[in-house]
Amino acid sequence: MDNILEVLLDQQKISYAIFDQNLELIQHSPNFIYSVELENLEIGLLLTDLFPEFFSFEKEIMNLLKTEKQSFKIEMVNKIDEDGNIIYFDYIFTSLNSNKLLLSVSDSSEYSSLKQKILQQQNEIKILKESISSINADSYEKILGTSDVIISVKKFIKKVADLYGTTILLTGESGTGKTLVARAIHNASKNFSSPFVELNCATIPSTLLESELFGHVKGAFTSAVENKKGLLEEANGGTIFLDEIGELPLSVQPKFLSFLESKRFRRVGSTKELTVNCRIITATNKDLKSAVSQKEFREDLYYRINVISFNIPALRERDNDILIIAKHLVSIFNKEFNKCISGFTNKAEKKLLNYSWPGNIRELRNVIERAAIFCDCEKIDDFDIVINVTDPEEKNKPNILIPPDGISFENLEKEYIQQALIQTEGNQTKAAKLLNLSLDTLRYRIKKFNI
Amino acid sequence: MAKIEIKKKICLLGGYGVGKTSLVRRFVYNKFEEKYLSTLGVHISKKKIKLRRNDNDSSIYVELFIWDIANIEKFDLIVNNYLRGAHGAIIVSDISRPKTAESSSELLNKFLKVNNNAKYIFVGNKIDLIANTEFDKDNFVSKIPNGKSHFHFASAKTGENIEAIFSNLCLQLIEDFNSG
Repeated sequence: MDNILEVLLDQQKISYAIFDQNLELIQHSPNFIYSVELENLEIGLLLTDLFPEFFSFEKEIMNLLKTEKQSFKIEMVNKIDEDGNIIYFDYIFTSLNSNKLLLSVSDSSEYSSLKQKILQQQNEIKILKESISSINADSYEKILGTSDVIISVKKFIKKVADLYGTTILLTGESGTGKTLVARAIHNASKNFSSPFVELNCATIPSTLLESELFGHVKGAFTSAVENKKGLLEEANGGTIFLDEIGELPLSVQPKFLSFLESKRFRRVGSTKELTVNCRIITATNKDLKSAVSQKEFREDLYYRINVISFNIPALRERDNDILIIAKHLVSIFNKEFNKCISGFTNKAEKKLLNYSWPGNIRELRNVIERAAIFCDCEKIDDFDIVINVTDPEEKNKPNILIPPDGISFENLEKEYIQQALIQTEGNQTKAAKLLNLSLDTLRYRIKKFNI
Repeated sequence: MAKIEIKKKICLLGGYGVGKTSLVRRFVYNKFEEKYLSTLGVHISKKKIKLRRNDNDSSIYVELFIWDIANIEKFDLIVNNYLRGAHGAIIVSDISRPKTAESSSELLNKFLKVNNNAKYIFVGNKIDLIANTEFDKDNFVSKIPNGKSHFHFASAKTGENIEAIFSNLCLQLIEDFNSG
C-alpha cells in the first residue's frame, strides 16, 4: 500500500515531510530530497535547515499546531534549476494533530509555466498600450524643441486637432517631420483611437494608386481576384494622411476631388457608392502652385486641399532645437547600441549648429546614428560628426562660428594669411592663389600685418 | 570585536515591468538582463551584508531573504502569505512610466496592514533612461505621499544606487540593535 502511495505521489510530483512540535523532521517521502537544497536529508533537521527562506513563518506554523487540520499555503515559489529553467513549487503546511505537522511540496511547473507565458503576454500588451496612450493626447507637446517656430507648430496642431471636416495641407522641405505633425494632429484629436492611415503617393505606381486608395471589386482588373477595401475605407472614422500629394496621378485627381466634395466614392469596378467619413491631411515638399501652372496638378483640387495650410519649418530655422533633437537622438541610439554617451563636446555642438541641414531631421538622425556607433568616449566630438556635403554652396561655406563676445576680423585675416604661407612654405604666389587674392593684395597685407 | 548575525525578510513590491527582479538580480548577482520576463508568484533570493554598529566596535551581519513578488493585482490570501513575517519592503516604480508611482502608497498601506512595524523605502527605477532628457524628479516623487523622505532613484541597468538602497533599508532594520 505504502508503495502505491509513493508511486502516486511521484507521478503527481508531490513529496511530503512530517515535523514534530519543535519543527524537527521525523518522516519524509523518498522524493522529498528533490525539494530541498541539501545533499543529505537527516531525521532531526529543523524546518529552517531545510527551508531557510521560511524562517519568518515559524510563528504562523507554530500557531497551526494549536488547531487540527489547519493549512498554510505558499504558492508558486519559483526556483532556478541547474539548467537555468524556472521550476515552481507549492508548499502546504497542515497540522495533523498538536504534535505533527505535514508539509507537502508539489511541483506545479507545468501549469505555472503556462500561466507565466500568459502573464508575460498580458504584461507586454499592457506596457505597449501604456506607451501608445502616452504618445496620444499630448503627443504634440512632446515634439522636441523650444524655438519660436516649433512653438507655432505646436499651437497649430492644438488648434486644428478637432477641426475634423477641414482638409489640411502641410508643406515644407523633405525630412522636416510632416508625417510626425500629421500624426500629432490625429493623436491630439478626440478620435485618436480611430485609425490613422498613411499613404505616400510617390511610392505606389500610378496604375495601382486608384485601387489602393478607393479599393476594388473582384474582376475589376486581371489581378483583382477578390474584393479589396481601399485605404479611405480603412481610415473611416479616423484620419488619412496622403504624403507627397503632388505625385497623385492626374488620372486619379478628379475622383479624389469628387470624394473630397461629397465624401462618397465607388471602388474600382463597382457601381455601388460608398460613404466614408475621415479627416484628410495632405503633405508635399513640391511647389503645388507651380505644378498647377505647369498643368501637373489640377487647380480645383489644389484649392480644395489648401483650405488650411501650414509650412513646417526647416531644421536650420530652429536654432538650438538642433541640439535638443540631437541629444534626444543620442538617448535613442544609446539604447539601440548599448552605449552611455552623455552628449556632445562644445566643438561638436558648434559643428551641429553651424551646418545648414538641407536634409533636415532625417539627415541629422543619420549623422547622429553614425556618430553614436563610432564614438568610444563619454561625449561625441566634432570628428565623430561626419557630414556628407553634397551641396556645392555648403561645401565652400567656411566653418566659422562667431562667438557671442565677437571676434577681431584683422586677427582672423592675419591668421589665414599666416596659415596659407605655412602651407605653401612661404611661396607668396601659391599662398595668394589659396586665398583667392592677387599677389599685390597679399603683399600689401603681409606688410600691413607685419608678417 | 563582537559579531552579531541576524536574518531579515524583505519584500519587493511594485507594478508589472518596473524592474523588481532586475533590482534583485543586480544586488545579489551583479547582473542585468535586458529582456523582460514577468515574474509569476514569488522568487526568493538571499544575500548576506555586513554593517557596522554605531559603537564601531562590532559588526552586524544581516542575512537578507529577498522576496521578489509578482505584480499584485489583488491582495488575496496567497499574496498576504507572501508578505507575512516581512521586516521591510522596497516599493518600486518605473520613472519612465509615472503612473507606476501612483500605486506605491496603496501598496505600502496593504503591506503595513500585514506587517505593521515593518520598515520601507520607495525606489524610482530606470534612472538611466532619463540621463539625457529633462525629467522633473520632484514631480515624480510628489506622486507618492510621504515619499520624499524615503525615496531613492536607481538603475538596475547601470547599478546606480542599488547597494545604497539595500544598505539604507538594512540600517533601518537594525535600528533596534544600534540604539540598544
